[in-house]
Amino acid sequence: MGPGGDAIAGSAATSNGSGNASSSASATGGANIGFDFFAGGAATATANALATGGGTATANAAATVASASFASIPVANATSNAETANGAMADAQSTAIPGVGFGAPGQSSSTAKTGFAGMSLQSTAVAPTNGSTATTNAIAQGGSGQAFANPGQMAYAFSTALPNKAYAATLIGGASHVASALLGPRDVVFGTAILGANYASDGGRESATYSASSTFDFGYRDDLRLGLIDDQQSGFANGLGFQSMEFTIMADGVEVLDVTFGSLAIAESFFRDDVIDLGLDFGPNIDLTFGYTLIADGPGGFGFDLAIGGAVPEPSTWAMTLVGFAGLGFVGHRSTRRAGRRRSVSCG
Amino acid sequence: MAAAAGSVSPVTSPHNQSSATGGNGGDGGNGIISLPPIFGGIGGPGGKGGAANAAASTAVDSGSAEADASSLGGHGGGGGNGELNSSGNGGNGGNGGPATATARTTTILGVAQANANAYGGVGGSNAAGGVPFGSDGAPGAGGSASATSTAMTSDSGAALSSANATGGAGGFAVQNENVSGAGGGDANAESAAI
Repeated sequence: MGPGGDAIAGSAATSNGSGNASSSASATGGANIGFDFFAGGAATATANALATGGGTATANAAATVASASFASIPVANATSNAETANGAMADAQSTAIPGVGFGAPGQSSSTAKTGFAGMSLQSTAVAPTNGSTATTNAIAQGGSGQAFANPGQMAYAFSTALPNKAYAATLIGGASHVASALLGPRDVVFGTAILGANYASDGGRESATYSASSTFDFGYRDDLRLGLIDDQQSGFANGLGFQSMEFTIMADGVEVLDVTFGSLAIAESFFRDDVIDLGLDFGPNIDLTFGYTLIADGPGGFGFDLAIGGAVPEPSTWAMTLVGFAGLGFVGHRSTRRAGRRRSVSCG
Repeated sequence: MAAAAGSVSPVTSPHNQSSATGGNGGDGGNGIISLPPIFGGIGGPGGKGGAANAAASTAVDSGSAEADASSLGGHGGGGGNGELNSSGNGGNGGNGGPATATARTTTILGVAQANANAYGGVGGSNAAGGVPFGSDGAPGAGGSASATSTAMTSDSGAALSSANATGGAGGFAVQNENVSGAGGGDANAESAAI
């Protein structure tokens, strides 16, 4: 057959009132059935959903390449973006399917954003097609959030801003150290995140890199604590298929922590019921990004959940703190200290 | 040649639909008998499928509104056969026509829904060259497809937007000659209510 035609689909839904916004884009490159010189068409799908008045936003993008050949490898790109206000759920899902024969390049990416009670929040998930199916899901919401379960996508990021007590308690569950650090009467949990990735079932043992991240912007000027709650692992029997993973923390674009794991056992230990005191030099305007990258070449998946929070000071403490900050010229000093706090660790 | 399809005038309904189908390309003629056969007749190429463009736009101040646009590119014509028992080459298949669909809906109060569907035309089949020396033609390429939809509401209604694009399949490679196929007609459809 001759070469298949390219397909481009773009969809945008915007609700500036209280209604929901739902956007769906599907692109399928023309087929070229048979294994010969020609290839199927490329596929690009982009779905955007924006709800600014309190409604939810759902964006779904799917890009499929029917076939590829040795002479032409068309691209499959699926991109979904969902954004809301007032903590309403923003849910973005993408699927990119490469062609039969020669795996098409391209990627699936999803981004979800919301704002809630002065905080802003973004979840991002990216997975390459790399010759295999790529699916991603990003969710951002306020108050309540997603259960800690493996949704099965190649990369996923679920973030919640200012989780209510019920959700925070459920997510933290039996992680006693995290509960002790973040669920006290004067503690506030600013945000939670569930990050994870799974190797594609049709990955063919080719190495692939999946990434997920959560970004929280909020105001706080006291001791900030990170609770690493739990992990969830599937597959990777006897470590087969697992290559490495990386966990990073960025503050205002500056990397403050970078941990690389070559061992699943050490990663499990790291993410299970532990608290990291991040100190008090990130405020008053905090921009934190928690990043996760999984590199794998065989069946399996790994994910974890975390919470970020701290104690709310008494009013008198706030006043003293502010005076102290002014006297020390804290703002000018902060960037120097932050740069000096960077930690890079390789485990296992 | 272009052919209009669908409504090109604004209508008052809050639900506008627009569809366009490009004409199919004609098949190429077969190669004519020639002497000596070594100069065999060449098959004509298939005509290309016509382009199809559909656009629907609905804009109202109050109430639900919908716009649907659908387009199908014309299929490419098949290539003509090269003269048998000669060196006549087979004709190429025509390319499928491209398809574009654009739907846009806006309302201030109510549900806004926009759907756009575009299907590229299928490429025409090629033709085989004459035996033993003619070369085969090439099958036509599938038409491209582009769908764009936009839905916007400013009050309590939902905004629903859907866009689907499917590229045309490439033409089949078959054996079959010296008249060109006619090109398929283009089609454009557009409707709008403001």
